[in-house]
Amino acid sequence: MKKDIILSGVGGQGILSIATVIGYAAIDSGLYMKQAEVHGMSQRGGDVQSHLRISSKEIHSDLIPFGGADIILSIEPMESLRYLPYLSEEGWVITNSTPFDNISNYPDINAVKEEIGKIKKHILIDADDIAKNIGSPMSMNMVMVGAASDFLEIDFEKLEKGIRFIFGSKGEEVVNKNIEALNAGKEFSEKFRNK
Amino acid sequence: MAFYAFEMSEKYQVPVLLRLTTRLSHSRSGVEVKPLKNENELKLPEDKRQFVLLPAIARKRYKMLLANQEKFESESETSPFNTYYEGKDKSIGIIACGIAYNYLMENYNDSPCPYPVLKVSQYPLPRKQVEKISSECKQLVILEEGAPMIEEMLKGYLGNCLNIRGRLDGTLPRDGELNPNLVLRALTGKITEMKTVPQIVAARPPKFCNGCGHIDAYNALNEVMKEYGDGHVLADIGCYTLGALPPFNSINSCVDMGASITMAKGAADAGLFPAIAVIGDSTFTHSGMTGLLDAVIENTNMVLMIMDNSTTGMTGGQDSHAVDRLVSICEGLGVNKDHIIRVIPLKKNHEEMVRIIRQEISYNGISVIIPTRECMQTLKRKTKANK
Repeated sequence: MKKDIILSGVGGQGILSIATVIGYAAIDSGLYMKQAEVHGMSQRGGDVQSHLRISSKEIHSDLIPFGGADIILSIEPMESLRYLPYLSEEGWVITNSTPFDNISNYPDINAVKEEIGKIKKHILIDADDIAKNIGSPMSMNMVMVGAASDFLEIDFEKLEKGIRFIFGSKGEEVVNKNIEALNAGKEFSEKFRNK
Repeated sequence: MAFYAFEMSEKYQVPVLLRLTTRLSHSRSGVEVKPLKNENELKLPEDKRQFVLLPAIARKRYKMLLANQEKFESESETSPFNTYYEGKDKSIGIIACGIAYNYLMENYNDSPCPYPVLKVSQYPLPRKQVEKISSECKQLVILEEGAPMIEEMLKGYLGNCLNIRGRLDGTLPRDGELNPNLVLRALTGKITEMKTVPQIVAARPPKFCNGCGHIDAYNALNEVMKEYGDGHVLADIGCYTLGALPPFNSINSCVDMGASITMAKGAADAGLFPAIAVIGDSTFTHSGMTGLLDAVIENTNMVLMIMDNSTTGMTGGQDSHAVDRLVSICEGLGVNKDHIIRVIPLKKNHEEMVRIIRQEISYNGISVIIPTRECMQTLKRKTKANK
């Protein structure tokens, strides 16, 4: 088993929490894990990416080779396109559809969605909306983890445990809302694929 | 590896440097942990003068260091971090250093590498293994992250010692980070096919957080500096360095911590007017204070702006030593009280800030303006915690 995942978004949106939840679940499942990331000033409102690699065999490179990613998991639609050179022929793009518009030249969102539509295997999910509906807008990133959960080959319970690990100190309510978000993302993702 | 480095440092009584490259520093992974080493007993070194680096002592210690070189080399030759992998195809021998070895092996996940490989992660170079690989292979490919140090060493100044390929002959790019694809191309000439980034994707450079006080401070500074043109603002390293990017384009330098003040002083000495230094509160206490003292002693005609967001924002909001001390530090260093002025960088105070910056530029001597407003990130965290 090997999963190479590019996580992408805008600084402050929560991709490092995604990396921590999946990374924790992977290690807890006895898998190898490597993760390379950008942080500090370079993430303030700018594009951020993280290379997350999970495997049952020892992992060599910290970076995913170009053309090698199984999944681009993006919490911002335009950002999902920025990393297409990493996507493998059969790879999935799983992305939030709500734009994060903090630049003056953000492209027409319909054109962005059209580009995403051209990718053979993709899931577009309005994670912001789903998170709002369950009353926890901050959990948008965990909706995205849920949307990708069927592709990770990691037990769903391990992901829940990962959420407990990073949000545990914030109390049971925060943990439960994030687990609810995880489930809602998974459910939407299944429906999208069966459409 | 750090564990091993500490042991080696103790054994030879020398500092051992752990060389980190960018990717290694920004990467994480599951690790196996050993039981902690016990702390050393607190005692004086046998040679009580070993850290007294007077020339006579330093010369003696340098001889000891030189005498140890052979031992360092033999440690390298037997080190678990330097490994020789035999390979049947001797047309190429590969010396892969540190993280570059990982990029090499990424290309041989499914089949073993056919070439002999020397993995180097401990220095000095393991001479025996280097001699072996260079004598049994027709040519060497050197894979190193960062500068091509080993490649230059082995190639020699005249470049005619061995048949060596790497960053210097264009087999790999001369600069920039390596990756598995570049290593594959270096060995096989194979160029990875990849999708292109759609043209509609716009650049998204990092920027100030919404509501950040630096925005208001730079807006005021920019308005004043319009009169003088570009090339008057020497700055430093911190979130406020983003002022170098559009739409602000406010600052002209960022060299090292504290250099804003010393460069502005040098520029003022050389006749630049006005000379403005911009530094953050925590960088100022880290290494800006000595430069300010120098400017005070010579009453340099410059304006220092200490952008006080009361934290170390760029690295994640650690406490700043400057909190509640900035004014008294400046006074203590000898800045005239009347020319240490706090302002609150808010849109509504724009005119006032512009007026004060103009006024202090016109004062012939050293002025300190301190735009003070807490970092939005730490403010958010505190507000949340207080709920």
